[in-house]
Amino acid sequence: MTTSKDRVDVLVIGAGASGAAFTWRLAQAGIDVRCLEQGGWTDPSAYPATTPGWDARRHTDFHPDPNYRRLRADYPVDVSESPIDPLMYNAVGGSTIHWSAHFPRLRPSDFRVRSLDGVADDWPIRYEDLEPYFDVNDRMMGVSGLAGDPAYPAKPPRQTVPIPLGVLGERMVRGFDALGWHWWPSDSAILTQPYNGRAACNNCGPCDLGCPIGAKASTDVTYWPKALARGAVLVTGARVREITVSPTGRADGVLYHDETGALREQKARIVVLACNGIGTPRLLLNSRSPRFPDGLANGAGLVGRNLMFHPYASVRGIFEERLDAFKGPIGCSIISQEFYETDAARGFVRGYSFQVARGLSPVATALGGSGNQLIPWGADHRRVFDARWDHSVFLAVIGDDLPEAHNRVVLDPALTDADGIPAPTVIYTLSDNSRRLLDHGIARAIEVFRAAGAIDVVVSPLLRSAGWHLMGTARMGADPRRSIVDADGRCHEVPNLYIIDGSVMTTGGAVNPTSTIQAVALRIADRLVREARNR
Amino acid sequence: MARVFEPGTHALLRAVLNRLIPAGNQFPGAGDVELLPRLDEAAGASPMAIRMYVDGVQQITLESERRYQRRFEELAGAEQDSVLRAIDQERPVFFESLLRQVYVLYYSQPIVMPLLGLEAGSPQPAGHALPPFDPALTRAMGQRPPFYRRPPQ
Repeated sequence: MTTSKDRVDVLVIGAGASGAAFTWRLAQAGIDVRCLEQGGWTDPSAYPATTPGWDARRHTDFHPDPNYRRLRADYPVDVSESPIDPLMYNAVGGSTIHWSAHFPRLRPSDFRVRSLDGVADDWPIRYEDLEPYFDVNDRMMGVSGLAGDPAYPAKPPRQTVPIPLGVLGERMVRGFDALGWHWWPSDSAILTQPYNGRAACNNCGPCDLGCPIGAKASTDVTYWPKALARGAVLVTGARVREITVSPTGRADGVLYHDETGALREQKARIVVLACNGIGTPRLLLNSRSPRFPDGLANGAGLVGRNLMFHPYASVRGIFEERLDAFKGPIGCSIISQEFYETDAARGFVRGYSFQVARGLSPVATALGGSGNQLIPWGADHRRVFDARWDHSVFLAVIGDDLPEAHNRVVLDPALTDADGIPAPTVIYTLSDNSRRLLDHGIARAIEVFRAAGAIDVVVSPLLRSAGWHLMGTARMGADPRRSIVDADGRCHEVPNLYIIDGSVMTTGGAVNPTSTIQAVALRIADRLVREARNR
Repeated sequence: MARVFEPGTHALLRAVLNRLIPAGNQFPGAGDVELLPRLDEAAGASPMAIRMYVDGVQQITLESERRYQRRFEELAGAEQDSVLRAIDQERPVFFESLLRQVYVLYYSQPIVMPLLGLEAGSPQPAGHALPPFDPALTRAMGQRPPFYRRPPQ
């Protein structure tokens, strides 16, 4: 084993959405910070959208599911006890490489669900605490959209104008307006005009296959160049095996495998986890020692518990006319939060958002999209395919997924990654509340499609390949018996160990979480910077 | 090539592909575009997949002989469909895997893309033109009072 001679001040594990933002903030303040990332840099010029046969690569080496993709940087996940498959990408930029960049914030009520609705727990921080960090993050990532959304407290002007809606989006606006339901152009981390040295989107379509022109805000093109310019060090191909602890119970570094598989040691004064809601509990559970026999920071037995995904249902509306549905960012056009807040008359607590996306790609049309309902083979194939291709709109119902202790990440007794590190198993059950909430959303989605002029709808009650949002498995809270980290991301049990990714989310809200995850990471970074200055 | 599918099975496979996605409405059948090399590659992904595909194709031959005493590629369309439906019933994992692979490979073929109104090559660098967002669309919604819940401080 090789031990690095230098002890860094801050060691961040994971170079994705939160790790990049956090590292940038520390480097900007002149703090000695190093990041270990198990993947490498991706080459935007080689992204699928630049190559013939691009649509097939969503099902091979660019699949969002590591169990299908099976690259060296990936680790397998046992999903045999989950109706939802976790999705992620392991590289510099993390899952922002393949995300669709829909960029809403959690809303003020999301931070106080116990006080307001009597369920789950309140966060130890409020929306107002995160507001300045949302704004910094928006400037760093570059957000297209429009201020003035009545679903939110006022936001500053967005960096660029909203994503073009096209025929498809304007059709859906007609439906929402006819019913008097809320809609607004989505906040999207995709530039519609040049900004900060990055190009504007040219509406090529498949953002989930990587953005070759850098219009989509993946953190390899937003935060990382600035962090590296400020002196941050990024080590790629470095897969952390465990966090080591000192005799006094403090984190003192990590053991990691380099890209040749050799085991190395890196010492650090502060260790920060940014490995996502699956990878972070996996690493904590793999970090066992006589002092922490059940895994690091797991004295209360909570590491890995309270996994939240955001269960998704989808409704696809089929229209008579062609919609140019392949033009424009695949996941972004408009959002509706008409049914976001609790209404006891609906028979469930909390609510959901509608995310209106675009049409499906040709391959996805044939495969029935995330709903996995293949269109028929044989004599009827051409008729059904032609009726759907470029005639359909994908609308996602994103449900608030309340934390439940039995939904969890554990270590698999047999499965390992390429370095022999135990892999995670995901155990998840959809709650009755979530089922009722999704059913309500499906019924309302059908209404809005009818109002928009759809001639048919295709319903998928629960999307399996939709575990984009990995949250809650090392939750934030004031009470060490009910949470892993405090309001500043510091582990209750290990004071120099911080967690900054989606694991810390106390509740998940009903929107894509990346904007909030990054704002939380920036706030934690800011607290650390202040602490360092006061030392 | 021929890692999984022996040359002797290629005529049968082309006939199968042409029943899964038949020609029509100016589109070629799946057996008439060059899918076999890539299908072979996909079928060879693991020893288990190779076994499944080899056995599955053999089963199509056997089922054709059993039902009609002829080779699959010699059967009429309706007869071929009945054989494939039987295979779907008896070997659902193989059949769905084959169907998925055929859909993925066919609808990403450069020869098929232009028939869908897309570039034959790739979406970049040309992209697509779209008219800019029209702010007038939000005029009514922008008048709606804020409706988020603000928790008590």
